Amino acid sequence: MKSLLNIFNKSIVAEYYRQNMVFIFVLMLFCFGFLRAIEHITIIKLILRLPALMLLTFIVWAVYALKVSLFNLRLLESRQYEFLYQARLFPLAKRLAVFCLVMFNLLQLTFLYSLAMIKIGIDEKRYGPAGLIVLINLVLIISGALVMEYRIRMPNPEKLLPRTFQSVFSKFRTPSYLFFVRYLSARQPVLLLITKLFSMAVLLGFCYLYPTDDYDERFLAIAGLLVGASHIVFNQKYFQFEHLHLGLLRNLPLGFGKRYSGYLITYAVLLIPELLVLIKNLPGEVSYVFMIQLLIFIMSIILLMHHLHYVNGISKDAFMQRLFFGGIGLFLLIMFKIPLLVLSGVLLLAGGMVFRKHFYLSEYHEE
Amino acid sequence: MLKIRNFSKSFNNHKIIGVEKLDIPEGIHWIKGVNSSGKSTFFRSLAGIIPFDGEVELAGTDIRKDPVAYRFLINMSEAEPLYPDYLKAFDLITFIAEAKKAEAGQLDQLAEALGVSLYWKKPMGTYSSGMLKKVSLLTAFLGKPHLILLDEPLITIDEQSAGVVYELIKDYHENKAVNFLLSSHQDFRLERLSLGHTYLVQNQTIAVI
Repeated sequence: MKSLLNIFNKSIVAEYYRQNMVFIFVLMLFCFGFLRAIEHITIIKLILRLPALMLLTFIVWAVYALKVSLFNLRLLESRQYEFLYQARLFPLAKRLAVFCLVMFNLLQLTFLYSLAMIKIGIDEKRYGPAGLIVLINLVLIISGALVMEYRIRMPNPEKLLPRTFQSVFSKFRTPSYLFFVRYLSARQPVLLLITKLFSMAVLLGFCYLYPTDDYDERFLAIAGLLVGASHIVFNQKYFQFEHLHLGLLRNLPLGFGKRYSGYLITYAVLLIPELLVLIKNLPGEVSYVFMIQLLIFIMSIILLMHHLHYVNGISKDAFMQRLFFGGIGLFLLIMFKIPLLVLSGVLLLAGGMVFRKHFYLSEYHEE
Repeated sequence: MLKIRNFSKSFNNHKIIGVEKLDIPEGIHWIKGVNSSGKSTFFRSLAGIIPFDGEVELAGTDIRKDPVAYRFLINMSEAEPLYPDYLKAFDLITFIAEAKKAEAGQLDQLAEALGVSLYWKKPMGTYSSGMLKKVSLLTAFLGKPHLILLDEPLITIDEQSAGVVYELIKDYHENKAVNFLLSSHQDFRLERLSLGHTYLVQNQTIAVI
C-alpha cells in the first residue's frame, strides 16, 4: 500500500499543487489579504449559526472538490499517466484507502479551513454544525475516491465529452483565438467557472453598492482592478498551454501586432460575461462611455499580467509580490483621480514593450 | 544556406549543445546522434521555438533581426508532437497554413498524400501517435520554406507513410529547391534519398563526418 500511495502522491498530488500554485496563492491573497483573523472568526461564527451560509460554504467546497476530481480524471486519462492503471491489480480495500488519502491530500485547502470551523464550533458548543462539517469532509473525500476508482475500472477517455458536444464542435472550425478559450472550457471548466463567477460577483456587488453612498467612478475602477487581478490564473494557464501544447506557434511567421491582437481577442471573448453584467447593472449615474473605459482598463491589466509571464528568471513568489505592489500602486493612482484611459494607455504600452522584448526569449520551466 | 555562429543552448545552467561555427550548405542532410544528444533542442532553437545564445542566419535572413521573414523560411516537424487533445487537426493545420501563407490546394494535396484528411476533423485526443506524427509532418511542408527540419521523421509511422514522406522530401527538394535537415538516431535508407552531409551530434556539439 505504501508504494501505491507513494506513486499516486508523487504523480497526482505533487502535480496538482505544482500546477495550481498560482491559483492557491491568489485564493489565499483574496481570502487572507483583505480579511484579518478576527474577521474570519466572525464569519465562521456566522456560518455556524445560519444554515443558508453553511450550505453556501458546502457548495463552495463541493465546487473545489469537483475541480480536484476533474484534475484527477484529466491526469488519469493522459497517456503519460497510464501506468497508474496498474493500481487495478491491488485489492479493492487497499486501493480505496489510497484514493481516500490522495483526496485528503488534495483537499487540504478546504480541510484546513474546516478544522478551524470545527474548533470554533466546539468552543461555541455548536456540536451539530461541527459534526456536519466533519461529515461533509468525509463525503467529499469518499466521493472523490470513488470517482478515481470508477476511472481506474473504466478507462475510457473518448466518452468524457458528450457525443453531442463533440459533434457540434466538429461542424465548425475553431479559430486560433478560441484555442485557449476551448482549453479552459474543456480542461479547466471549474477554474473558468470560479474566475468568472468571482469577477461577475465583484462587478455586481460594486454596482449595487454604488448608489448607496456618495461614491464616484473611482469606486467602479477599484472593482475593475480586482476583476483584472482575478484573471492572473488564466494568464498563467495560457502561458503554460502555449508552451506545452502549441510550441509550434513560435515558429509561425506572425508579426508582433498580429500576435498581440490575438491575445486581445482571446481575452475580449473571456470578458463577455463581465460586459453583460456591466450593461445590465451599470448604475444610472454612470455613463456607458465610462463603462467602455472600465473594460479597456480591465483588459490592459490582464494583457500586462499576461505579457509579464514572458520575462524569464522571475520566481513565482517574486512575480506575485511585484503584482501585489503593482496593484497597490494602481489603487493609489485611481484614488488620485488619474483618468482610467491614461492608466490603460500606460499599461497597454508597458505590456506591448514587455511582449516585444521578451516573447521570443521566454522559456517555460516546470517548477 | 544556414550560418551558425557562437551557438549555445543551456537549460538550468546545464549546457545542452554548443556550436562555435557551422555552415550548412543547401541539400538534404542527416543530423545523427544518440538519444538525448541534443538534436531536438538544436532543431527547436533553429526553428525559433526556444531561445538560444548566438547567431543564426538562413539564406541571409537573421533570426533575431527579421524574426517574421526568418520564420517564413523555416518549418519544423517535432519528434513527438504534443497538441491540444480537444482540438481537431483541421483547426490547427488550417491556422498554420494561413500563417505560412500556403498556396490554395497545397493543404488538401498534402492531407490527401499523407492520409490525414481521413481523420483530421476528429479531436486529436483520439489519434494514435502515428496519426499525430503525420499531422506534424504535414505542417512542416506548408508554405514556401527554404529549409524544413524533420526531427525523427520516420518514428511511429507505417511503411506506406514513410514512403510518402520520402517522396515528398524528394519532390520538394528537386522541384521546389527546399533543403532538409533530417534528424535520426537510426540509419536512413540512403538509396531513396540523395543525402548530402552527415552531421554528428555528440559531446554537446555538432561536427560534420
